[in-house]
Amino acid sequence: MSVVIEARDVTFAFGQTPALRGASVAVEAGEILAIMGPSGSGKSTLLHCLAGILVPDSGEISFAGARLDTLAETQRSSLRRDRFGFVFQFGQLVPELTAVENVALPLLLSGVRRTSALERAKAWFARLGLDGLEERRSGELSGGQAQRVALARGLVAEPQLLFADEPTGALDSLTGEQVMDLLVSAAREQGTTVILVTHEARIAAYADREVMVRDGRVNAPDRIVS
Amino acid sequence: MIAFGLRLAVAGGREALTRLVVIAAAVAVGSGLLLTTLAGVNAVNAQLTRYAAVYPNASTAGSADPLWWSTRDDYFHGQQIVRIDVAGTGPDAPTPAGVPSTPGPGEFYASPALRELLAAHPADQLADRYPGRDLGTVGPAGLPSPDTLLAIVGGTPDAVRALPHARQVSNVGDTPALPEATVDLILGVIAGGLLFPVLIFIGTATRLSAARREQRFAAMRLVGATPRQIATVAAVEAAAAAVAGTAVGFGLFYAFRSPLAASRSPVCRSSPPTCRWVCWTSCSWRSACRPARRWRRGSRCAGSGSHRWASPAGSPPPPRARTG
Repeated sequence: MSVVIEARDVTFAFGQTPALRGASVAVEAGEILAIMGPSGSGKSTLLHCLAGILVPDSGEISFAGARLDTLAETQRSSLRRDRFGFVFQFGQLVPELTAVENVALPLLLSGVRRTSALERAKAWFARLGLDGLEERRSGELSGGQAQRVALARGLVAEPQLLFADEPTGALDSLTGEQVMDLLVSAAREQGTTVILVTHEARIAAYADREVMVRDGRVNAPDRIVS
Repeated sequence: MIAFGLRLAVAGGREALTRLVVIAAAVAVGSGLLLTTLAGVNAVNAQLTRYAAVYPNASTAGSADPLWWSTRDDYFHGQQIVRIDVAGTGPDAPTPAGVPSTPGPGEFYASPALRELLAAHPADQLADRYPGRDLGTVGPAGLPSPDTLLAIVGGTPDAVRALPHARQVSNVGDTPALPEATVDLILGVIAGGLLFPVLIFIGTATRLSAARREQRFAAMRLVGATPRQIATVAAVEAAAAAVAGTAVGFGLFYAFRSPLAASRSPVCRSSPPTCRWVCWTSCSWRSACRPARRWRRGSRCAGSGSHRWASPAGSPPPPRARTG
């Protein structure tokens, strides 16, 4: 299998506080990788650098064989819109939009016609057990429902990569497992590569492989989970 | 993106609509106040210009034939009647504002309000004060307010020269009462005292929604909205509130413009000190202290029809040409 995204000796600091100190990791196409680590270890920062949300201070990020960290903001936005999907813990749905509009948002931003975008978005509601919730706004959804809407939005554009940062962090264990089941099955069905940040071993168990981040570095050796 | 931004602003649920309405209301108040302020300053300036035409300064430059002029106050049943006696000294003498020609001896013009008063009372009570030929009605350009009781009476130069406060004038009603710098000063004071709080209101209303806007834009950035798309949405949202607020502000202004105009001087009616200050500024610039003294002695406040300023202690009673 080919490497789809890779970080090499990435460093990043928030002001004077270093978050990454030479982190390196490679993810293969179709793989589900869990990035684990204690709070403040730099695992979310590493995910944000891989996704092009943050630009590393030094080191390289490559996606599909091309440098990602040197791209302009507009190009990185385009990548996030067309090639990447995101499921985060909090605040990812636009409160003014209905659930179906939130799912269709990446398509609308890409210039897909509204009716077509909403049609494609609606297909995900049945798939993720969200029937009847299309017209609700985020404030009218439960945590699990909102997270499934976010998952649908992350996958609606059929991205190559799905970034999930503590996707079950705000959910109870049962709802969290349901969301993870849906995430993993949908990703496998689409052949989407998943990079999953979590501090829970139970959630990391859904991954093909896990790496541990400590003090801003990715610890080797990687361990194959399944 | 424009349609999407409008969708977010207008159809984004009750909270988004409330946010839009609050910001639009703040903008409406601001634009309405601004329009009213500009209209008020303009109205006061126009009114003072007309007062200046009723009480012109003595001047002999600019015309080969000056006009003899005497302005006096008359009273009838407690109502003030302004009587202007004029006499041309030659064919180039200026014409009083609001009338087509200078009345000759034995001729007069009357304002619409005075004409009604003349018709409503027997001649021996009022009309006999203005004997001679009635040439017509004084037009708006010669009246500080529509209900001003005013007569322009013609006489001979010798007769007018002998009247109290007689002077020679060579220009009548062709100079604005307030210079541009004064208008700027008035606008500055009003902007500071009145519009600044409204701006704070608009800023507060906008800041109240800042957190939610940040959340919205962060969510959009996450799924790949470009900075330009975010800027477009933000601009459309702001423009929607601004356009709606400005439209409402204009609507309110036009809705209240007629009642304000009917009050003849909104600034004076609502704020006598402001009026006093405006009048003082005008008089200082014009060096026309006599009108100011007349107003202080009890004439109407720039046509408000409702305010009378107290007579200073020891000041003489208002001049009366004849008692009514």
